[in-house]
Amino acid sequence: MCMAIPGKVIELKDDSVIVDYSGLKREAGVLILKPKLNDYVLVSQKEIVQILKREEAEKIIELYASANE
Amino acid sequence: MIKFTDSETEQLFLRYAVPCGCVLVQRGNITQNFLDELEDKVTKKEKIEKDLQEIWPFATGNLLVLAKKQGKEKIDKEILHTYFWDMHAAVVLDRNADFGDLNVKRCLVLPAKIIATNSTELTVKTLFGERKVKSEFLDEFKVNDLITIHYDNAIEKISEKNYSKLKHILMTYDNIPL
Repeated sequence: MCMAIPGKVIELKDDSVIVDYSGLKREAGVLILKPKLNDYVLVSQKEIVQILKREEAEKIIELYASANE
Repeated sequence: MIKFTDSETEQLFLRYAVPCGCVLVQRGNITQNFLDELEDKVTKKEKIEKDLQEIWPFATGNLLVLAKKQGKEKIDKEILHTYFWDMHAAVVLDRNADFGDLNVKRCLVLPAKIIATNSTELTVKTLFGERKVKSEFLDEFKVNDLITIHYDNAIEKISEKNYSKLKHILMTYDNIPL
């Protein structure tokens, strides 16, 4: 699964994190990147593939919201 | 830092990645000038001195995940093809479903057959009809060659087997906007 929308890391586990997508929670692996709590991330292949700066993440989330009004 | 098995593989990644740089320009991640310089360097097979993970974090992230899952330290052609041939369509369609901001048919990596050529451009036949693409990334080409295309560029020559494979992958999607 690929999530083009950034999610926020809300829980850290040993080999994964829980990512929150505006209420929808999904687990993602940390095979190549280990985000910190509250980091915004992009997930693909059920793995964190990119950690975003907050401003960039918020911009994308806003773009998604306006595209889906 | 992302590492490729050799310079040829790195160049192949760039040939696939540079054409959709227009999307990065649109999003404000890079400038058009920078993209033009990248395209020029790739055409001349020159090394890009910038960190490729900074320019294409999502694509390189996916390649690194694939490599790690296969126990590989470096990105090889098999990994590139897995991403750009097997996975890229789903990435594009998911993105477009969420944001509606992609020209899907241009963004997909498509198998194509060359039906006409001139000095700078190829006319190709794809699943979605005929298109003109730039030939600058190819060393040589002729009518009836099978290739992959991405945005406005021809990317590489492929075998009959891989042409059929790519066509089959794309035909499994029922949500490609016509």
